[in-house]
Amino acid sequence: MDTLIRTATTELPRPITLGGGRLILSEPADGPTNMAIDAALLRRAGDRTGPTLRFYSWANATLSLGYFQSVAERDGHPDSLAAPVVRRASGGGALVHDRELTYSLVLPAEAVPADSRRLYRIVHNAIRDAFRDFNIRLDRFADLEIDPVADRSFLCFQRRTDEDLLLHGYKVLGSAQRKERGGLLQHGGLLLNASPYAPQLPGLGDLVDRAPSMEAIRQSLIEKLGAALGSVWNIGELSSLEKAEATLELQAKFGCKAWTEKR
Amino acid sequence: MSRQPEKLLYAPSHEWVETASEGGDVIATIGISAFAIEQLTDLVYMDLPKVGGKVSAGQEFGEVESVKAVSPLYSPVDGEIVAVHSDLPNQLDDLKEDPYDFGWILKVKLSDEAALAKLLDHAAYSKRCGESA
Repeated sequence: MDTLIRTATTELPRPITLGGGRLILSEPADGPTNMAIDAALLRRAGDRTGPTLRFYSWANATLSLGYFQSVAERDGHPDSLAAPVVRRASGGGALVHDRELTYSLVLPAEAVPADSRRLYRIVHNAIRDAFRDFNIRLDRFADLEIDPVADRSFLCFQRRTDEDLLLHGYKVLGSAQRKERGGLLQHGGLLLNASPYAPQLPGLGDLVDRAPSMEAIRQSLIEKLGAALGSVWNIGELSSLEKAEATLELQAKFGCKAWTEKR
Repeated sequence: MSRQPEKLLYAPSHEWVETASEGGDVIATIGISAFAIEQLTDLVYMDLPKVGGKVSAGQEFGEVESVKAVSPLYSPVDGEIVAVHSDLPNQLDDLKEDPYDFGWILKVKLSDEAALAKLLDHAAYSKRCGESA
């Protein structure tokens, strides 16, 4: 039976009154499975009228490439060469998924803001709110007085875009999107601690004295994201159609070496 | 010769189409509207198909990335790809400056003209953009 989690309202901007949403708390999975599930949720986004929010983690440290990145660029980051690689459906730079909390948010087309960049702002504002409650201040990169640099660093967390969230000058959260006719997928990672596969990137636990637990962070994000999106979350799981779609995505793309290394 | 946006047809997914008769065939030239390019902001990557491939109305033919978002490009027509603007992915700044002339993406020899009837004229497309902006 579904569990109902009610959320408070806030004055944050809303793309739409999204109403009933589905919350999926996934077990740790490997990279191809995680990316196939996100892609399947997007592919079937039109089946639902409300948003789907999923939290997940990684069964083993994994490097994900941005959709347009070349696998050959891996050679420029020796620390992560031993980690398995997966290609994301979304853009941006490579991520080492190890000691992080990962979220994905899928909206059906009717709920997607005309300017989808707003969704980065809305979600990241909610995340900042959540951390404010833990007395941790996350800064939006665009609000800092730092000259933007046009960089194409291999790792996403060494790049900076306006909506990235920084802690003591270090990027700890970034998100990326993929759009399709049926809706929009936004997913992102909150870096909890530095990974041996990317020791140059400190995480939350490396930057504050007492970091909240992953469970406490996740619960706070669920509440704040519900408020920001005007949604009430019902805990659910993938539908049979989404599971079938994820299997197809895994076989044709994310679990397929040729597809992962297509550029 | 400059294309005039007012004389083009548009798909709701923001691709523009110009048709011309060439040697008994109808050739559709396809690009992305200025409105869409403005919405996408900084384009950084573009993937295009190869000459000789087939496209169907409403089906993906390519992809673009901007602000870490990957978006599909949809064909507004049915037919065979007879030309691809292969330099375009390396000159995306120029696409932004000139979406209707330099920014053409594909030329398609139509196999069926039925899809053209479903496209919007400039006035209808502009109205739609105004409503979604």
